[in-house]
Amino acid sequence: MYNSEQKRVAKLLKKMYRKGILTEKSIWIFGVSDNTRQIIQMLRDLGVEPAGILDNDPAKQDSFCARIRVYPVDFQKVHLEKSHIFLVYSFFWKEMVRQLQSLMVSRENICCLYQKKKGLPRQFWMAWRGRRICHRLFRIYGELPVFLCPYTGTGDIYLIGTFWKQYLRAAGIENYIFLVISSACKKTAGIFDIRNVELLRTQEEGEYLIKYYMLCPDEICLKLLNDSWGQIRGNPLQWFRGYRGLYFMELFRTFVFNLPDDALPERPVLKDAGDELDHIFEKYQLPEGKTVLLSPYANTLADLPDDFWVLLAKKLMERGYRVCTNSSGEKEPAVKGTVPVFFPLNIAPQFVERAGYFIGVRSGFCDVISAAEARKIILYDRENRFFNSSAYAYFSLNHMGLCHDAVEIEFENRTPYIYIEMILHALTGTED
Amino acid sequence: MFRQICHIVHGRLVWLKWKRRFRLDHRKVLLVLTGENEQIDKYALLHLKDYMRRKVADRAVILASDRKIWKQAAAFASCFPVKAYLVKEQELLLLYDYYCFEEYFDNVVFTFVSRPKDNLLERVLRETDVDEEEAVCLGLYCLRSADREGRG
Repeated sequence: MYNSEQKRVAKLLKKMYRKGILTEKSIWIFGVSDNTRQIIQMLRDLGVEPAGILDNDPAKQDSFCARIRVYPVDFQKVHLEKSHIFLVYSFFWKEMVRQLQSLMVSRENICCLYQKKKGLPRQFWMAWRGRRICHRLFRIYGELPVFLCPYTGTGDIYLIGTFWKQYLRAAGIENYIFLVISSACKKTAGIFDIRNVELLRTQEEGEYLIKYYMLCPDEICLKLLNDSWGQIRGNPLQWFRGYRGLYFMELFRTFVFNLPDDALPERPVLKDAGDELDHIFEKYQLPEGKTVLLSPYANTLADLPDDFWVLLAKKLMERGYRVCTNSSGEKEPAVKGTVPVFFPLNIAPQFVERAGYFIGVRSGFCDVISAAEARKIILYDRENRFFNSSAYAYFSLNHMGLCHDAVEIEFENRTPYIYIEMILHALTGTED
Repeated sequence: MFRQICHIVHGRLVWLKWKRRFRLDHRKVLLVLTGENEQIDKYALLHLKDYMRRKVADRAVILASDRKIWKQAAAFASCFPVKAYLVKEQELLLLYDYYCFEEYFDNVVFTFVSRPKDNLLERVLRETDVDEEEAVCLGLYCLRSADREGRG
């Protein structure tokens, strides 16, 4: 969900909240997705906790999405109660609504938050806007090939960076424009020698450019740096993610970069960030080589309950570590009892290297710090699926070749606490 | 840009004409057999019922521009509430180009494997272990698996 869409949905939920709809009824959300995670966050901002998530995929049932349990759609108790409201935000909303109705849920208890941008004139207007953006860029850089990353995932940008030089060499490209839609992505691109990185003014500008490309593919040399993107309707590649060995790295290597199977991701050469790090370590009083950076937040994959992190931090502190949390502000607060730290992504690997230790759930941030020479523990929910495979199989840092020294642990989401000792053991290398 | 706009508008006119002619609504699915890959067309027919189930639809319309494919589809159509029609290839392409630009109907599947140029399905078939049946079930119909035993 782009920022403007997030604002629209948040406004809609706020309106429902004021009317008492969200407080009088139990909230169920249909479908495990990034959008669902964002909606859960919006509800939590209003002080509302959803009762559960419904999903048709048996692989997702019984797992957790943003710490809320996922149930099958025909989970009987749900539909018998009239005091339940079902939130739907999906491209496939029509069939979801029909499915709920077939289970005797009344239409008035189904709230569709999804809004399709309708109308052909609007589509043309979007393409025209894309054309103007394109001309604006060409005025600055000249008529160069345009590479577009229309997403906010820093992990994707990092993976692109590791193949970038090989790709340019193989494709014979010398100069180009590299477009991103978030400053975090721009910072991540800064870890590599990627030239002409331009941050688009709004996230929608990426959408307009794609629209222009779809209308006039011969007028612009544009390449989307993703294996599959919803707006490009003719390409069904995303549905094979995790199928028959088509994991994150493999899909990018083969289908984004057309590189052979023996092409491996190249680690970035980390720049000297000594001065900046001195300042940060002094500011937060972090001891070098004895600091653990916690990263408890993930957008795409499953995370762990707050209590787990609090207990883990407590145990780490008892063992003499200084514990800090990678915290970007109010929406991602520090784990209770730890120091909130914030630093630019382009010096994140150097930060972890100096800290000495990193523990985090699998997120894009893990890709970014993967090159750090430090003790890195990456946590994956064993039951978390990503399309056709487990999250671990799809995103494993070691398997992707981003590093070979990460300790990757799959945990059972019902009993995460039993993994604390295992994590401590992996961190210190001693039996506890 | 003006030429492309006219092309898309033309595609929209074809869509409006066919929507009325075939009475397309959300209780129906539309399968367009393109003839680009015979195996894909075959499995698209074999798994059509699975797709209808997923879309909670009870009827289907199949369009083809090739007479041979249309005959196959028509023979298949005698099994359950499906109707097959023969249409002009040019109109079919206009409809697809318009679909790629604006998604005007949720319940439509085209069996193109290499059109438009960003469609990587042909490469998936050529360069990976994914076979045609899996390509149809996962890629085109977005089913959760390729159920070879319980086709339809």
